[in-house]
Order: sequence, then C-alpha cells, then structure tokens
Amino acid sequence: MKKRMMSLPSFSRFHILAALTLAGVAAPLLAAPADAVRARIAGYKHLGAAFKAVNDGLRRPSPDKAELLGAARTIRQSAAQQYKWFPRGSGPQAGVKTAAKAAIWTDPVKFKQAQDAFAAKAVALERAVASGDAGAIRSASRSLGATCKGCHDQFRSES
Amino acid sequence: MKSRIVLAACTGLVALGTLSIGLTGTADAADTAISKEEADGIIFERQNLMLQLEKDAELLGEIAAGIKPADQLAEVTRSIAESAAASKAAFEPRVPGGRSKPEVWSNWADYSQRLDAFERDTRQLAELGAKGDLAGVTGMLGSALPCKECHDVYREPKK
Repeated sequence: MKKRMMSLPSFSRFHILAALTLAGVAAPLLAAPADAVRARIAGYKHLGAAFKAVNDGLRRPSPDKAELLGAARTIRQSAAQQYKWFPRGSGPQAGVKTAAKAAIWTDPVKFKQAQDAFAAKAVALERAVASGDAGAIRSASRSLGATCKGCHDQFRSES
Repeated sequence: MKSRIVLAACTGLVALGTLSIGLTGTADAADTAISKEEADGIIFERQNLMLQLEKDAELLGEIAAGIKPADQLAEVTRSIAESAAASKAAFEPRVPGGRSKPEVWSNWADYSQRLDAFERDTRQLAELGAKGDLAGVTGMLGSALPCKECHDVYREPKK
C-alpha cells in the first residue's frame, strides 16, 4: 500500500511532464500556420504599398525619382523574400483563413516559375526607375503588375 | 443613423472595390497593339485602383458614421480623389478583362462622362475633407460616390 502511494505521485509527475513536453512541442506547430499567414499578409501589404507608391508617383507631373527608387527597391527586396512566405502547412486548412490556394503546394514548380517571373520583373522595374525614363518605368510597372495578376489568377482564391 | 450613413457610403463603394478583388478574367486585349503582358498589367492597375477605393470608402464611411475618428478625413478624401482622377486613364486602353463589361468601351462616351463626374465630385469631397468639414463630406457621400450605379451597368457580377 505504501509503495502504491509512493508511486502515484511520481506517475502523475511523469504524465504532467509528458503533457507539458507535448504541449511545448505542439503549441508552436499549431501556431505556425497562422503566424506564417500573418507574416505573408504583412509582406504583401508592404509590397502592395510600395507598388502603389510607384504608380502614384508615375501619375504626378514630376515624379520624385528618389521616392520611386525607394519603392522599387522595396519591391525587389520583397520579391526576394516572397520565397519564404509560403512554408509547407500554411495553406488552406481548418482554422486558418488564407487566400492562398492549395495549388501553391501541390504544383510547386509552376508556383516557383510565377515567383521567379515576379522577381525578374521587380529587378527590371528597379532598373527602369534608375534610368529615369518615365515611359520605361510605366512599361516595367505594367509588366510587373502582369506577373502579380498572373499569380493571383492561378494561386489566390477570391475570398 | 450611423449604419445608414455607412451603408450609403459603402454599399456602392465596397462593390466598386470588389471589382478589383480576385478578378480572374483573361486579359484578352481587344486592342491588338497591346501585348497580353501589358494588358494584364493594365487590368492589374485597374484592380488596384478599385481596391484602394474600396478601402478608402470603407474608412470614410466609418468616419462619417462616427465609428472612426475624423483625423484621417483629409487624407482619405484626398486618396479617394486621387484614385478617381486616375480611373479614367486606367480604363482608357481598350482592354477587356477582369469584371469590366465590354460596354465600358462600347459606351465609352457615357462611361467616361461618369468617370469625369466621379473625378470632379471627389475633388470637391477632398476640398471639404482638407478643411475638416465632416458635415460637408457626409452630405456629399451619396452624390460623390455613386459606385453602385456604375457597377450595375458596367461590371460583371462576381462569379
């Protein structure tokens, strides 16, 4: 009887320890998709604001080259970062609200091609801005926008 | 009362904004001089303009309703006026796609007249906003932002 009374607390401690360990491991796993989606949304908002700055700047009679350059640089940097914005497990699933389509993960080659196209056009935009040629900037901006649209059409749901 | 103001401000405008969200139509450039890439870029530019209008209109509706503080009144009305001013140029290229109906271009005289009025009225809205005239802005919401009227005629329903 004494032995049983002695073993019960240690048995309970084991279970508590196990539960805490599991919780410690599981909690980040459960939080990860939502965190990834939040980071992705923040990244795209930052990118979108920079793209808006470029287009707003182009509509002005005398675009501010420094402002355009800053925005173009942000776009290029975001384009480089976007490869990290879609970790496996951050797609559509129960409890996670995301516009990202499952095709991003089921057709990674095609998605990578779309990301590469965007990244290339982002570099081209920065070059065009550096040239100071408004026509070239507008053309590069539209080419970049086309890659955005192409990706959205294929890989983003309408939610 | 608040909800009616928000409704008046936003019903059409939210609809206007949704024009820009998830438009999946192919950029089937009617103007053969425009490449598909450029056409997609033009459509994406239109989408972004409408998305910005949606966001701004939602915020303006909330300011008018007293849900949000009026300290952003000048900024948001200015942003609306800028987007409105850019809208005509964005639709000028004959590039069907997204949710724009072909009537945009086949009835261009009417459509562009509406956009001219949109630009003119939102400029006045921005002038009132710059003065901090919330009552004046609120009184103009219905007339300056007749988004639904336009969408009913020129926008494809959401699929």
